[in-house]
Amino acid sequence: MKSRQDVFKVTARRTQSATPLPPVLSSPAPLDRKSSGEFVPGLAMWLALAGLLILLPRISFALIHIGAALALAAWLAPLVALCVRRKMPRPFAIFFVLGATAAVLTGMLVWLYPFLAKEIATLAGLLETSEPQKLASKLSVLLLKALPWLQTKGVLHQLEEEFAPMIAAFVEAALAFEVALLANLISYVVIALLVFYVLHWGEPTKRKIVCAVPNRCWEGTVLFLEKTVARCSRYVRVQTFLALAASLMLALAFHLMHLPGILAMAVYAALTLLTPYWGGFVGAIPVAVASMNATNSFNTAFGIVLAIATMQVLINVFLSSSRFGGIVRLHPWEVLLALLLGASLGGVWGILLAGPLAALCKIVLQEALWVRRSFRG
Amino acid sequence: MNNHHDAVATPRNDSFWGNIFRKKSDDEADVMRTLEQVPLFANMNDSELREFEKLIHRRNFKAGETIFWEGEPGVGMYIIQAGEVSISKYFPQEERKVLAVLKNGEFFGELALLDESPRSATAIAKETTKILGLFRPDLFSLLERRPRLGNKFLFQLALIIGDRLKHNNSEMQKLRAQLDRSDIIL
Repeated sequence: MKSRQDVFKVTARRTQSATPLPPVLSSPAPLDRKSSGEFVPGLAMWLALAGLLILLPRISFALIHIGAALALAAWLAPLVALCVRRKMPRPFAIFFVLGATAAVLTGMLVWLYPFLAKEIATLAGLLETSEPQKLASKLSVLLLKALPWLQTKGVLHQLEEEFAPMIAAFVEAALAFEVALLANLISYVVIALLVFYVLHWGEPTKRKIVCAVPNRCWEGTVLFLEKTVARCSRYVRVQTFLALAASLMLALAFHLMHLPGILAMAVYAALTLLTPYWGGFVGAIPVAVASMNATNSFNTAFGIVLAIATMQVLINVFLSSSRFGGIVRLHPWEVLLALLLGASLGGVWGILLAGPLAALCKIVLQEALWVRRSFRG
Repeated sequence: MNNHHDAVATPRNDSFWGNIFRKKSDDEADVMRTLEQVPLFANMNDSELREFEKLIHRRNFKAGETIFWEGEPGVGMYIIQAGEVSISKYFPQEERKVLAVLKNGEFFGELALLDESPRSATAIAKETTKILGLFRPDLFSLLERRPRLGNKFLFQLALIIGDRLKHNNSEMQKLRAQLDRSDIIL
């Protein structure tokens, strides 16, 4: 039997080729909204993204919790639906699924605790001992020994001015992330409550939104909400799965290379890989430089770049397969612009979230424009 | 008293505000009564009807207001709780032609429950009309949640569509016979 999303996909494809709307009773001019072209959607997408990214630093605390809750809800919704199909009352099903998830995550955290504590200590040590100028000169010596043709003033200047602070920022962000992961119990409770709200009152909230819109937008709003939520949930599920798989594989690769702080590096690199086209570059550079500093080996850094590039290729092949293809297509320039905006507004987190946020914005706008073109309201 | 209230333009009479502020208990009983009359919900007990009642969207349309336009993607079916709805179709060579006028308890747009293909006609409220909408996403969620009930509904829908198909086939045969008897060459 086809899943609900598959049915939507098929029906959506059918209506893409819908015939032009016939003239209205009183106003005989036929509706032609396709003339607005593709410029408006692109511009609107970038304006929305820019607005979101400008607001990001101001409301980052709330956004992180809401985003985590929505992502978790997208993952848990199919499990809740499965329990409800097994005749379990919905609130009980949500409690059961949330409880099981919390138990699994806590178990993993307890199991990983000694490893995480060691990693935090290593990262903290690295952060304390790293002095930007010394680090830069050490890196330049290593790099120029391996690649003599790079021996120009420009490269040396680049290394001294930019690489060292970048590594320091990366290590600091990784450390803060791991400490927050271990220590922020209140956040877990808040996120769990938000997930419960989304799973339990998500549908009634959608119905209230539909009730509040005027008659002329009624049907369009129903379709917009349904399709947007379905596509965004699917995108989040696929991307989270890919990030987890890539993190595990990269962690294994880094472990085989005897690198310090493998979990932080693997998670960072895997998250950057979710940004298509340029994610590999963004992820590989700081990880390779950090590893070169830690191991004093150019070959290790090269191995890391190779591992990340392989992972990027694997993800691209996986995403372009028939099952996951067509989730969202971003132009390389759109991704580049999103990365620049993300980096300038949100730093390391901005870089990590730019690709997925741009993709989600594009999904919302694509659906909104499809509804606008298809309905007269 | 009620008549007096109906005559005065209160927010509840206005179609926009009426869609937001609505007494729930009155509504539930009214919706259940309306659903009982609809052939699609035949052979369903109270608890099953209540399950559908939770999925139903209520809307008030003013006279002359369009419920949906021909050519728009179909989202779901509508049941007339009170009022009249005219179903009309645009023919390129002719004027817009009214195909049917539907009244209380009648339903339309049921094919949109199956797929998103464009609406084949336009539905316009002829007078102030209360409409109940059952949308495809809600039906799919019911099919996932309570497959037996969902299948029961789909079986009824298939029966009704099958009846219509038989009727259309017999009409077509009659027309073909008339055409054969006449000397019209197409």
